[in-house]
Amino acid sequence: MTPLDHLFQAARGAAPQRDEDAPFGFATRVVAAWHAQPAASPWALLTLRAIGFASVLLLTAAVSNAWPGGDPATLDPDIVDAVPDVLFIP
Amino acid sequence: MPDADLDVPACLAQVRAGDDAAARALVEHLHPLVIRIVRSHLPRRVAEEDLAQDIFLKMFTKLDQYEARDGKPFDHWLSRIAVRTCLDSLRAEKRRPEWRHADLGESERSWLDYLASVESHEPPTDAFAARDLVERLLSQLPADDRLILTLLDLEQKSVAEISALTGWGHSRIKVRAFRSRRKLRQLLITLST
Repeated sequence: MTPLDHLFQAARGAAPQRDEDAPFGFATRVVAAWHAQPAASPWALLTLRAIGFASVLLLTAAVSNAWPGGDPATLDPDIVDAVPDVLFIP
Repeated sequence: MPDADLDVPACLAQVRAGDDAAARALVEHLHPLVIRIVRSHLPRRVAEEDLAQDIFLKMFTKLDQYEARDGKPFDHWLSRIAVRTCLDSLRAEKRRPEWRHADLGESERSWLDYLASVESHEPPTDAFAARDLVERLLSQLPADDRLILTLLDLEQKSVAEISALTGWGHSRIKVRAFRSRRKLRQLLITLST
């Protein structure tokens, strides 16, 4: 056993013995507080879900914008020679 | 007085049907279980009765999510809610108490000297001082470390039991326990120097 094990072993032997019964009126108070809680309305739940869905969409859009998904040089249209190409079409 | 022979499944059915007397009986029956968990993981500035009330309110609010046919006893389901509520409360604790070697009593200091000593000798015998010192040390640790050491080393729960209570995987618990013990040893070194 390590010294820490000895410490924990000794501490286990001194666990305080206290009353575990509910204090007078505790159960009544809990049940009253339960009934006093506002019930979650279906509209609130729907709004929360809509906000969550919109956040996911925004995040996906932001990530896809930040990642072009390829070499930018190959994505740019080759416009340097566009005018001569049009003018000198054989 | 709690009814030791309370038929919990029948009582739950009555609570779901809106019977307040059954709800009160359920609270009284389960209070010893909840208060034991609360006392083991109570943050410094929170009253145990307030935390117990929060746990019971969560129990009633989430009652529809409990399915007895999953094979999980109701007290296991409630214990998990209780441990997670205590953990949230410990995490919300903004500041941990600060204390120094000089704040300790003589018996606690003898434990600390024993823990810091490199030579092996007999451990002190004062169990209450050991308890006080353990509580002081654990109160210095982050919430997750405190929870894991309390469950594993003070309450001697198995990894499987801790997993059922916290929802953490076995390997996460073992790694966390290793790191928490290391933090505790570092804390001991800091305090004894």
